[in-house]
Amino acid sequence: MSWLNDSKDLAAVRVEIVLAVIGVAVLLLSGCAGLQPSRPEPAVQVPPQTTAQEVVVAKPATRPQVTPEPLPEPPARPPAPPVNDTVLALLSDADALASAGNLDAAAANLERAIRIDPRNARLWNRLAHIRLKQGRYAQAASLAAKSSSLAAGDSALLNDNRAIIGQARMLRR
Amino acid sequence: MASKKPGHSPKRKKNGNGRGDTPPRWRRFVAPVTVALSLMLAAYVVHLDINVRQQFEGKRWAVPASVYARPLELYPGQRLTRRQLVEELQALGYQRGDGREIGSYRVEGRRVALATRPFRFWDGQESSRRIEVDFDDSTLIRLREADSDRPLTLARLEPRLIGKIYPSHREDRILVRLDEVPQALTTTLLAIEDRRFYEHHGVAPRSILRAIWANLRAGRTVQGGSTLTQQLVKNFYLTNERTLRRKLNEAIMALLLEYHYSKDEILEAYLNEIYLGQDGQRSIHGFGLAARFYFGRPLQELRLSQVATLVGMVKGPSYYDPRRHPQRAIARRNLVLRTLAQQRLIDETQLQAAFEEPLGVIPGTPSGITRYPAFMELVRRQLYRDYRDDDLRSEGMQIFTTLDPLTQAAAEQALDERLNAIERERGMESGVLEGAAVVTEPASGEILAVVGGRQARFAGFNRALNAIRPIGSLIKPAIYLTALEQPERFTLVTPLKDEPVALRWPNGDTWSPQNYDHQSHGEVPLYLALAHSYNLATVRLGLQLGVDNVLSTVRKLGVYRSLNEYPSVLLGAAELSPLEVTQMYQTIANGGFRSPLRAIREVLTAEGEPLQRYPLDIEQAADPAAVYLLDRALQMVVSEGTGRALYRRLSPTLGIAGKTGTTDGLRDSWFAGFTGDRLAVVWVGRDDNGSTGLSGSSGALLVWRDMIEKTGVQPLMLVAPEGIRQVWVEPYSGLRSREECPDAVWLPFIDGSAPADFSECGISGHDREKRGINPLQQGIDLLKGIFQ
Repeated sequence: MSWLNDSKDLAAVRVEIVLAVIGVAVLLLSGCAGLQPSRPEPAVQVPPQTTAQEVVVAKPATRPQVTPEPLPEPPARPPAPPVNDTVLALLSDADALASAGNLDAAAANLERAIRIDPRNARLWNRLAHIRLKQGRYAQAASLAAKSSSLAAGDSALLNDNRAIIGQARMLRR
Repeated sequence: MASKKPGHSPKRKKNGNGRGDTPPRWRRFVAPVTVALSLMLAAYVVHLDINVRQQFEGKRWAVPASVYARPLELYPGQRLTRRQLVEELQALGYQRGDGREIGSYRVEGRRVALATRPFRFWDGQESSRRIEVDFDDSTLIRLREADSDRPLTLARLEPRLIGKIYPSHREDRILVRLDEVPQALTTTLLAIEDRRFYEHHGVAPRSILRAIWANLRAGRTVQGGSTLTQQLVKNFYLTNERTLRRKLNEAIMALLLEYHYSKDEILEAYLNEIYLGQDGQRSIHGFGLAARFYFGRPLQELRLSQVATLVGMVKGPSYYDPRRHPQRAIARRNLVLRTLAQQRLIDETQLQAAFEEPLGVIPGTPSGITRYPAFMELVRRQLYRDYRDDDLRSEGMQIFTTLDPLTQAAAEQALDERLNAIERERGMESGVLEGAAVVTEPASGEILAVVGGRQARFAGFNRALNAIRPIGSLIKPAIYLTALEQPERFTLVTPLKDEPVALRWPNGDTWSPQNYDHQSHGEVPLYLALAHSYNLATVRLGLQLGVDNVLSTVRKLGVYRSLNEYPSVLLGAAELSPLEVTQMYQTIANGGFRSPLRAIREVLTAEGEPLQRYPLDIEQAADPAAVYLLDRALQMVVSEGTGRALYRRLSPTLGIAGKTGTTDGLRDSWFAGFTGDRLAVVWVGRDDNGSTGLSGSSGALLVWRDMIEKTGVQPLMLVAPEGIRQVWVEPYSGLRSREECPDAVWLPFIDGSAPADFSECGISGHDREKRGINPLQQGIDLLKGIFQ
């Protein structure tokens, strides 16, 4: 089952963390630099024109202000991977329950998995499928949309979600 | 104890003895009178029969609904400390021991070994398992089955019982089936109370005679002659009346019970019915509950000495109360044990071992009244929508809620301790500050904790649900979201004018809002106006968008209270409860998907059959891409705006998103914020609505921070949805920039709205001026249009 393969997700997550950390760090630096000149009252006045040289001078001055902020943990701590095993186990239980026709129990399993890993687009997608089978079309469509909002780049999953939404709309009529 | 005057039954037999020559006139009446009497007696017996059967069939199962917290799930990678696990185990009544006996645990360094209790969940039976759990500082890193050493992916402890919904007579019991009652208990019970239980027919004349003999010899009541069946009947009617008639009724009813039901049924009913103590208004019935109430453990896990203590109490639950009269209870227990030894039911070693043991009673338990009154109020609200009061009070339903006791404890402590500290630092009168908190899981909408005030143990004014307060700047995300949902007009770097604004009401009054620092900040990029919570920029933006459109966003986010369409609503004149605010932020934290906040997961019948689930429900309320932009801006509130104080103690890698709120005269201090797995809203204020002297960041935010520090959380790692493009921009010029430029910020844009023109690093002042003029002029024109 191809949708069980989570390694790609993990790689994406790592990239995301690194980007987020860089983003935050840059924001801290540049934010200080940008906001440092406290503007006087006259309102419409634009901050004094800053030249490249001034910025270069300002930067070392702002840095020490940033560094005292303690960074107790090393950035980009690897997300604990074994969680995935738990989620996968719940997923395969859910699949078994669903194919045995026990849709409520399958959904309960998926909800348990979502509580553990709420950013996992596949879990929301599976739950959408279950709701579709149960005839809860509005829920199915919402869950598929939620899955898509987390599935950037995974075109297979995005397509599947679109299919669910289309079907749900059709069946609702 | 029951039979001081048991001689009445033989009396009747004296009639008709040795009377050969009775006069015929008298005789004529004998037959009809006998018939009439017999009929009356028969009618009376039938009456008793109906009565006692009703009692047996009906009342014995009047069981209050049990309300449970969430079960603690254990899995590798879970954010849970060893201390937290042990705290949970202790709350569940697990004993420190070898970790192999059910309900015991053992701590070895960073490992906890335990044997879980079996429990029936909504999705089936979880059987007992011996597991070993390893921890590092913040995380559960390994989970194994102890015997096979096999790794486990998931295990679940039974949930804590957090409250009950009682019948009006306040009888409480935990039903047990005879086959789950330990042999030691039935053996001991029969040995002490009714040795011939399986032989007699409800009454035991021989026992009665023996009791009379024993009592006469002792000159006082030392022995009772009532059978278990008679005692059961007596318990049905719960009266201490000791008349002859009562005794007679009891005897007849006992015979009737024995006629209708098997010995095992009667014994089971007895085990569940017998009165074993009092906890305030609540009466403790049955051995199942007594085991919990006195020893904090399920019946199956009681030791012999504890079984003997409970059986000893049957004779007089308050006289032998092991909490109030430990000496008496021990003496009685030892008497019971000796009796067992005399009857050769235990041997000398067992006897001596049991003698040595302390009573082992847990300290006065608050289990009768819930420890979580604020959360329970929410549970009741939800239950009463779907169930009848009567059913909740008597059907023994099992209600599985979402409460996380670990989070709840952290929230309660954080609120009280922080408010104490603030009062001390600021020389305020102690206790003048009040507060409330709601914590949820953003993705599921499950409510993990509700704190209704500083005195969290006492049911009082529940501020989390019922304090309706102005929300101040907590409204702002709704305004900015309204803007960001129009990517053709607004992006995160759209310049907003932070300048004085005066609104004239139809009646001639003017309203001139101020910034918190009483300064104007000129033109600021949209995301910074939110990060610094600039009022002037926000009011102008809100007016430009239209107050009605902003309020429609508020409704979409899940706030159903009707709010006045005045411009002052833009600065948070809107009044909401902390719970309503939580619902609004839940949608924001869940990427624009609204989930009704839930306190209940499942409802089961007393027998464990599923009755109802409250499943995860979501509805798309806003464009996920726009919400993503908003969430990024809310992260910057914390990284560089009014929420900065969080990172003085918490790690910036948490990526927290949040918003502070402060109201006029510093009356209300709010903070709403979320991480990867927690959303929490905190309110601090005074019940008399006086000034607290606190802003959002000097009050509620500190409570929020303490709370998160105590529980530990997952970082917020936002996932950019489809249709988002991230670029380096220079915020003040709104132009594309490059990573190496000092002013450059990495910001997301909805497709098609990202700036195209590049600026050279820092050389953008001219552009900034040029760009600034148009929207500025537009804004002024627009305001003129609206308010003149």
